[in-house]
Amino acid sequence: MNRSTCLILLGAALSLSGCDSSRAPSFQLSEQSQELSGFAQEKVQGELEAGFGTPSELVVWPQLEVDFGQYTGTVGKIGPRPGTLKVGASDSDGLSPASTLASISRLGELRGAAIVVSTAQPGVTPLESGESTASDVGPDATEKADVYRVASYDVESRLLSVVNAAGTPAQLSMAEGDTVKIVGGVLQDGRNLYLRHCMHCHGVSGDGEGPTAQYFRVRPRDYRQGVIKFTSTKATVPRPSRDDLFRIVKLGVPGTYMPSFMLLPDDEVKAIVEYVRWLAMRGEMERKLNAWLSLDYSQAAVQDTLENSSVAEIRAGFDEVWADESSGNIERYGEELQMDWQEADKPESVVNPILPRTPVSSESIKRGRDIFVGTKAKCASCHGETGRGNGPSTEGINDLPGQPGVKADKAGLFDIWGNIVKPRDLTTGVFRGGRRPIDIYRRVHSGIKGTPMQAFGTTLNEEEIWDVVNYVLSVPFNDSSNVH
Amino acid sequence: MVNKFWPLFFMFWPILAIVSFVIAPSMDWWFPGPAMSKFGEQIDNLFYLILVIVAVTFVGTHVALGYVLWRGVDNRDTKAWFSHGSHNLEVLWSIAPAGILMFISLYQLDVWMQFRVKSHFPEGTTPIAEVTARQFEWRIRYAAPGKKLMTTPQPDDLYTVNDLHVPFGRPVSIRLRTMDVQHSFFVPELRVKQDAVPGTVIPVWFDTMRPGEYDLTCAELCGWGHYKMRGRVVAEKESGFQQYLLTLQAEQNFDGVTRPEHSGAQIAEYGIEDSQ
Repeated sequence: MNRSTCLILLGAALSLSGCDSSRAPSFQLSEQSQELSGFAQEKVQGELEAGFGTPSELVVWPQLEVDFGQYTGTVGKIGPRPGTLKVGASDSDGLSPASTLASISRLGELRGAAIVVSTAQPGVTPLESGESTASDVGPDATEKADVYRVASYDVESRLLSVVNAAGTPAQLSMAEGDTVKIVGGVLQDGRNLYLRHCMHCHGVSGDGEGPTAQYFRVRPRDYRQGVIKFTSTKATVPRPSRDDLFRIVKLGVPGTYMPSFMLLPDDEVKAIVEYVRWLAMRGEMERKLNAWLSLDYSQAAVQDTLENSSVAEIRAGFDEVWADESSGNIERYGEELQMDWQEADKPESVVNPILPRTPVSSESIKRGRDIFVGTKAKCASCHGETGRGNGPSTEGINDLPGQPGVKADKAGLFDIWGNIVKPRDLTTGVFRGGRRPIDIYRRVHSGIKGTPMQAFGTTLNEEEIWDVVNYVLSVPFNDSSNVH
Repeated sequence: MVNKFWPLFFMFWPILAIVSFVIAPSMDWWFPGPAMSKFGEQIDNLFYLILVIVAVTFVGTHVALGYVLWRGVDNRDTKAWFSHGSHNLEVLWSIAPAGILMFISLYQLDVWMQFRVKSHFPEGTTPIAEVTARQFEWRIRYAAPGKKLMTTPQPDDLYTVNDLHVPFGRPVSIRLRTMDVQHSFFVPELRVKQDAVPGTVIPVWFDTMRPGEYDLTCAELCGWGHYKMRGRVVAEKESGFQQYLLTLQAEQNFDGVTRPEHSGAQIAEYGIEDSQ
């Protein structure tokens, strides 16, 4: 063999071996968690795995306000092979979708979703939250429920084959007439789509640190605080609605690196939205656990305590605290998550003006301009007299958002993710949260969450906000001389 | 037989090439469907003309090569004739390809002019939208219904992304720009491909013969997210197109009070609930 043949063979071998795909995606602990001492970290990690699982083994925590995707049916004939059964007794009696996002067309792709068979049909009792583990799937799973994973389901023949955790055909301990539930299909779809379309920027854990994120000046959103900037919800509602996330994925965020996924089918976008919400909840859960533990059990705190007590004593103290408080706390955190996210989807949480938009006129624009530069709303202090986003605050030392009285250590305006944010340059005509009048109205009314853009819904009345909207929308087309 | 190995070896490849060309259309290795625009048919005609010229040349040279090899294996006695330095042959194989290339370049000039030179655009070509490529999406700007597309944004312009609607059956043009790096506006079924070059606005015209949806892709490796730049061109009846603009206008002027009429083409205010 001569040298060129060697090179060709080498090239072929390289292209066949390809990139290293052996690394399965995994959730990373947040920076705050990593500052906890080892034993506390372990507990946090364990709790997160019990409630949420890993990217390859998702866990359904029924209490969460997520549409995991659910199908129900009854057990028909068992067999013919081990680990298979027929669902229902007749053709019209197969699995049926029991949640909004579960759809008939998805039934064939249920591979891997959890299947729950409840043997005790009547009088099912809801699980205590906090006791949730991998085996507690389904909003009303009973203690007798058996959990398997779906290997395949054929819609035509209604043949369901299931495997146990080890991936081998499951020994079925069910009888005809039992209720069978399949949970988690939507979350799995969401996971698959997220890993394909979103993960490379937003990261496996939703921390905004995916491999392509390093190229960006505008950071991809870190979901783990549950805060999304552009929402239709009121300032007092901390979370985005499903509709907000749906719009962001579909339309993108103009002026940033978030592209539009307009052509993804609606149900795929909805599955992604559910998964993103779920990731955000996972991140919030981690933060809540941190907030509880970091005061006494961060590495620094443990170092301080070591002056008076031994490692073993601290450890024993922690174990006691954990045993006493963890289940109560986790239950409470779960309830908080449920409440916050439920609230975001309530119709009354959405900002909807009563008055229609004031027709565009030079008077309305003039009034808006007066508010913009006036002392009531002080828009110009950040956005600048001409709306270029160069107001005096951008050069000053400001309070950190959400922490009144706490000054940043350098000049500029900060968001809660620690980035310097620039007030929007309104002359460009690019509006990240959407360009519809209602979008601008909501920006003024409830601010941009996680940023120094405040909510003016209480400072300004509806007419005044509409005037500001008219002015803002006119800025790209006016030199300031037209306004005065 | 061993002697015939090299002639057979060298003939195997051209025959494989020709067989693959012959079966290509039926195996779906060919064009992405028939051209969906009149202009696209002209492009296809040019393609086929060049294909025929190349095929004739290819088959001719390989038949000659095969003949020479086949004969040469058995013919060990006659000394080879070296043509190197033959003035006549040099002239012949310089002039023949030059003539063919000259023919192709003149023959395609009409089509090229029609596609590239604004004064040769078909009569009645109307600018319909401004398409701005950016990493990694297509941002689209229409004029308000009944208005002319201006070169600079207007307060009543309509905006959308990745979804270019056009009326079918008449030539329309877009103003192609890019906000960052070089991209390429490529609609394979319409046989339209044009680079978007930073700092310039390039008018691109095309027609569609049938209503339908056509893939729009970026044909210039523009960054890590190049593959994400998937869009579509939707060709519809004139009335449908006007209706689309009206829907877009209603959606874009939505103030939370006067609700736009629902349309599947757009994202409704409550997308999640409405599209159930």
